[in-house]
Amino acid sequence: MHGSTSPALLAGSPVAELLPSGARMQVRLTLLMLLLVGLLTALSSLLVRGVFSSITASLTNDLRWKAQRGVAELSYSADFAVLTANEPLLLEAAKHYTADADFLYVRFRNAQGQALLERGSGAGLPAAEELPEAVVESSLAFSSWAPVVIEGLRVGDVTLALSKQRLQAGTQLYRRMLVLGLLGASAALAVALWFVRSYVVPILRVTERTALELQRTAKIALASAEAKSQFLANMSHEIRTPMNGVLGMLQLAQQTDLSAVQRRYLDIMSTSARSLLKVVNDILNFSKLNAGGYQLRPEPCSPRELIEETVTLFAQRAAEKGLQLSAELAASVPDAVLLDADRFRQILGNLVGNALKFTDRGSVKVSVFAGPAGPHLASSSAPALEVYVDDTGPGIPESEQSRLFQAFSQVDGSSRRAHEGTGLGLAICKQLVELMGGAIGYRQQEAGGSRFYFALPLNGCAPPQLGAAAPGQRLALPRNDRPVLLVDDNEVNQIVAVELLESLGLRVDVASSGQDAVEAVQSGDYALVLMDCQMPGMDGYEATREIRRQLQGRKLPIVAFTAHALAEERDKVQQAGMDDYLTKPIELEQLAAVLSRQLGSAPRSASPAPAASRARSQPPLLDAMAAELLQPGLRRPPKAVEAFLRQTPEELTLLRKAAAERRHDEVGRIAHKLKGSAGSLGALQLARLCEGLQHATKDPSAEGLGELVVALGHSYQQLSAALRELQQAASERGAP
Amino acid sequence: MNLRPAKARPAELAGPALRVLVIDDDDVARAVIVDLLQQEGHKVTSLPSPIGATKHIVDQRVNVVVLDLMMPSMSGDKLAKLLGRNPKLKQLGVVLVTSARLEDLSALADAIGSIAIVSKAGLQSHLGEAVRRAAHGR
Repeated sequence: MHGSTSPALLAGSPVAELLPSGARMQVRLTLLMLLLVGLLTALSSLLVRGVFSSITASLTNDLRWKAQRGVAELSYSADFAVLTANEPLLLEAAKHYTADADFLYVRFRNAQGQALLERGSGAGLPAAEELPEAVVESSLAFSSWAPVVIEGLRVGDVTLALSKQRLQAGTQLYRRMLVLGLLGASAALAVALWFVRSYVVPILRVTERTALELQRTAKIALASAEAKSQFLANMSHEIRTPMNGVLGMLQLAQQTDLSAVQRRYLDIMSTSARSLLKVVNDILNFSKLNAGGYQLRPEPCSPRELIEETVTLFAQRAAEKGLQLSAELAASVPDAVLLDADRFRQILGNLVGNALKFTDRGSVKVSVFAGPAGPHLASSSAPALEVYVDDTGPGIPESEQSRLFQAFSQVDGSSRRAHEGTGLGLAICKQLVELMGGAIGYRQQEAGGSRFYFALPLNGCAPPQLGAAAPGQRLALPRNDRPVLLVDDNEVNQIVAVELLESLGLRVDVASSGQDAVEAVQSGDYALVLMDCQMPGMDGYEATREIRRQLQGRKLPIVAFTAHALAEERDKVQQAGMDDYLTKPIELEQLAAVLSRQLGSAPRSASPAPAASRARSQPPLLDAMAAELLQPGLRRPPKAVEAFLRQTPEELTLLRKAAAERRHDEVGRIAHKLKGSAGSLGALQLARLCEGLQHATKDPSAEGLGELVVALGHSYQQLSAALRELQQAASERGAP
Repeated sequence: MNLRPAKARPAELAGPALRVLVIDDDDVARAVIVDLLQQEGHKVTSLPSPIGATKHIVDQRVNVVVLDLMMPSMSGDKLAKLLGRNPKLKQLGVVLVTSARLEDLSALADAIGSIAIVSKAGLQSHLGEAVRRAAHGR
């Protein structure tokens, strides 16, 4: 689901904090409006004022100049008329000025000061007779006066006043415009404020509320995702704890003396319990993937080994159904790639398992290619590892193909409902492949079978380091007398673990709390501590830290066992200072493998590789082998072992030769013989492979025979190493 | 403070009062055993299941556990074995009780080892002594 990403996203950037609150925003907007309107008003009034003042200035100059020039001109042009007091002449001389738009007043006087001619209104004008041709400004007019002089003799004077009316009208207009402008600005401001209040603020409020709601939703989503994850962890614990009891007790019961019927019942019970566990794991896995908390752990690994391991695991099942199971690696596949090996096994195992499940005759073939990304990978040109799983089964109807990778859908509606499963397998595969940046798909083959493929981005790397992983070492179980300390608060878990440990020949002490464990380690000398992680009070992690603190570097392997199969557990376990870990329910094989690993190499290297990664690099085949060989009560006469070890290589050579020459009868005969001797030594894995091989020879096409022979050789190699180790151990015990 | 004298006990049962834990899934049997041991003057607690017994034993500083052999979640001998593996409970005495006939339990002899076992048919006569011995033998 994609919903998982958004809460995280929202949590990272709380939306509401990005926006100021509504009230603050309103204040800000109002201020902004005020500022804008004020600024505009000021600018425009400045502009208007500028224009007006320049107009006024030029008009004033004009009037001054006219007044000045006027009196100067009149005093000059009308001198004779003044001397003669000739009114018509004076009128004629002043005509030009009396007709002027700005004319206000003109007066001619004789030397005696008697007015010769007066036009216009002189009321309120200041006397301007101080300086000739000076302009005197009054509220009404610009006035100017000049004496009329003939031959140095003053004969009279002239006064001219020009009205300031035009100037005053301009000023008035300017004032009016200013008032109008202010009114307009106020109106604009009012409108803006109204707009802010009635539109912007509500929108802001809605936005704010939405943001808050989003934040709240995100919080809830986050909390619920967390709760879901926690719930899963708890469910995982709650389910696995009783399953631990069931499976553990079943294993123990299977080891007791039983009648054939009882054994069959127990086998069926065991199978049922395991498939129940698988269903539970599937569901938990799927939910975990869905909750989006899945962490990939890429590590260097060999595709060849991964494929071989997986195919080998299914060889038996294929043989039982009479199917050919084969694998083919193109030469282009690199020796080492960076992959999450567990997830790769899970995906491939699922596809191969499905192919085997739904194919009734013919073959299942795994092919691996490497190269530039084909059409399956969306991510362009990056090199890809492509894996094909082809079968000769019935194929999948076209109508069903689209639902293949959906959760909870199994293609078989009714007729083939015989196949068990949650229907989650392919959905999980799809999620995993996509998580790994790849693609998964299905194609109908022309011949009718199915082809499932997946492509993963190919990240090459140096070959994996397998230095200390020599097979024999793992089986060197402790020969020292120091007991193992088991720490678990639950009595049922305790008894399961105690009995399993004792069936492996170990002495066990029990501590039922973290505190007890710390005390026990202080006073007792233990070879190893098996620590339950989930305990009330001091839990396993804390107890481990405390023990590590008290031991002050002294070596003591601590193996966690936990009901949480979740991947984060690995990190927690490592961080707490534990060396290895086991998942409940404890399986005898895993327990034996981990114990031999932790106890086997007595002087542990100074810098042990991370336990979890070592645990994963271990082929499961070997664990199974270890458990088989450690089965109590199985008598294995040394001479028989010797004979087996001596003869089998020869037989294997013959077998390979016969297989190469396609002499199937011969292959079947040798396989049968080998099956018998392996079975008698308790090497069930090898015996099963032999049986599968024998079965395979009966099919005329005998495809995949070669692979089985190779697997057989592989299995024998491990078995012989394990047997030699046991022989050595026995001889050391026997001759002290 | 005026300490009252300890409750008088029958003289023939003299011995220190013990803290005893009884674990039996059968309500009736459990009540019977508890009653019996209380009559002996012990301080008795009980649990219907072995789950959580260890914690109870540690917390209550129990001296002796009386375990039913046949219980659904875990048989008494298994629990006895666990308790025996717990270094913290080295001082703990264990008594098994069973409704089966003791003769039928020969298969369990190895598992039970030296642990005292009392038939439920013989509780009245044997349990008290078995508990005291288990406490002494600790």
